[in-house]
Amino acid sequence: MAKKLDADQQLRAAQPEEVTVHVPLELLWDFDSLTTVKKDILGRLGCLACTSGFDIRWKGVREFVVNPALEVRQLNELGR
Amino acid sequence: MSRLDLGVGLALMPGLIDELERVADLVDCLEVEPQTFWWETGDPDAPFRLDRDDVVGLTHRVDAVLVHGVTSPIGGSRRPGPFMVQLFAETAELLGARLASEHLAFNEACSDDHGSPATAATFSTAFFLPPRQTASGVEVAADAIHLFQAALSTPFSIETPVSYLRPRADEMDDGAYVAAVAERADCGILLDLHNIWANQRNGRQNAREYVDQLPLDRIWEVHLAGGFERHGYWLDAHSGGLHPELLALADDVLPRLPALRAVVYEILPEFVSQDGHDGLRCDLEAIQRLVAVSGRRRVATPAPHIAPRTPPPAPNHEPRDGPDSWEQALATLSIGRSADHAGQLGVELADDPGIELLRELVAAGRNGRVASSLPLTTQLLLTSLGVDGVDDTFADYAAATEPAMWGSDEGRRFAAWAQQRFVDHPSILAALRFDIAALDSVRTNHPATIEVEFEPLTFIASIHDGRSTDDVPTGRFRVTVG
Repeated sequence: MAKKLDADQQLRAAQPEEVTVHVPLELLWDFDSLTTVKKDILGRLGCLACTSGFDIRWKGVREFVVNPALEVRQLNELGR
Repeated sequence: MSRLDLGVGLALMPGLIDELERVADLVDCLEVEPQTFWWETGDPDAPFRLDRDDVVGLTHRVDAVLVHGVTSPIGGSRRPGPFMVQLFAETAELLGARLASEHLAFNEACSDDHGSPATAATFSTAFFLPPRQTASGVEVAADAIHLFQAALSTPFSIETPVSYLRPRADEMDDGAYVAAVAERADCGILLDLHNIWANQRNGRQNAREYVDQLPLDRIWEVHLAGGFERHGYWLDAHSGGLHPELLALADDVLPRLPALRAVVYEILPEFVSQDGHDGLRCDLEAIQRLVAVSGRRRVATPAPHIAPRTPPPAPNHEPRDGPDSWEQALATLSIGRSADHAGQLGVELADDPGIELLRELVAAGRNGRVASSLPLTTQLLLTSLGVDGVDDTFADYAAATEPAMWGSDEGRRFAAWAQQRFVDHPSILAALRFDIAALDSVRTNHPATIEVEFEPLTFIASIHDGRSTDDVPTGRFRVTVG
């Protein structure tokens, strides 16, 4: 879900030219709602898939995004 | 040290850290991937640095730690790089690790089968593939193990691999091969019972026969995990749950292991709770019961004694295809290339139905790494192209490029490819710039600056909401990300 912009951000956003904006990683990658993109990838950019198993991350994102109720369902269906 | 002195362990991933307190009464030790404490540097000569503060933070939370590598498997003819081995050893030392292990597998191969393995260009599969189970395969594995042993002050073990391929007449039995490697290298064995049980289900050696071929006093650690079936194969998916047949196998095998020190459970964070069921706690309780019963039973074999033995007999003659040809053929097929690029052995291997599964698993890994490292771009692609469109895009990307081992590298590789593919789509190009800036910021620990033509906050909010970016105000924006 979109974050609410504070007044200062809205003011800056309304100016069309030569605007400098700071975007925190937490806002850019929307950690609160995109549940399959974990905060842990911030620090450890890597190795979940260095296994011999099935990487479920893309499937999780697919199901999350295409489900308008924002429910994560696919993980259960895959695992059981 | 006494038998089962390290008790029941949990394989720790960053996403499981929040679960630790809840199951603290069931976890006696933690198995950690050293790579968890490594940060990218961008320096090709020293690509990672060790986060010592994080290591110290973990050691305060648990009595015993085991380390389990996930990037430098020791089953292939490409030796692990000295920097990675040294960093592995340094991390193990700092953690005060009681045991160390790596996978008896390979994930890298020469680009063609004519060059010397030491000098030829290589490519990564970013996925563990089964090693060549021949006498020369034993030798290359032993050489790689010696590199770890020389750097480590911790006892080193090799993990029994999973294989989705059919057994081959020109190879040793699975158990005999692992035994030969362990004896030749004089190392321990991490017996992954789920792996060898999955192998049995998928048509390979019977798991109990496999264990019978192992030197039992070299088995210092056991792995248990859950999996699921896909296309008729049982996958080593770490998806929670302990199959009753696996528990029965463990019940038979554990009491036979005189030098066993820990039984470790592997589960991905995504599967910890399903349908309101606390699978993690339930499975750990089952393993605690198993270990308690096993610990009480009398071990039938002699007390632990690690002594060199005569390796089991090798096949009568070394097969035509050595480890390097095997790795080149299997890796080429697994990353989706045709058998035309995989030599004579590749043509033969392509008939194995397990190859199609490996291709799917390798592709799933690549898609997962792109989706995780480029989340804004992925979400915009889904909104713009739909699920089928993104699947097609990922397939085209995979066909045009080779896998990257690390998530951020796969993200950057995809971004470079996508900048050409979507050259006429300014919103996708902008999303890529945002994601890459975020990766750069993480790498350097400083904000990264980019210029975009979309008002950034509205642009990001639109993507997160699944709305079109067509109405986002445009202009010249300098954005710091981080």
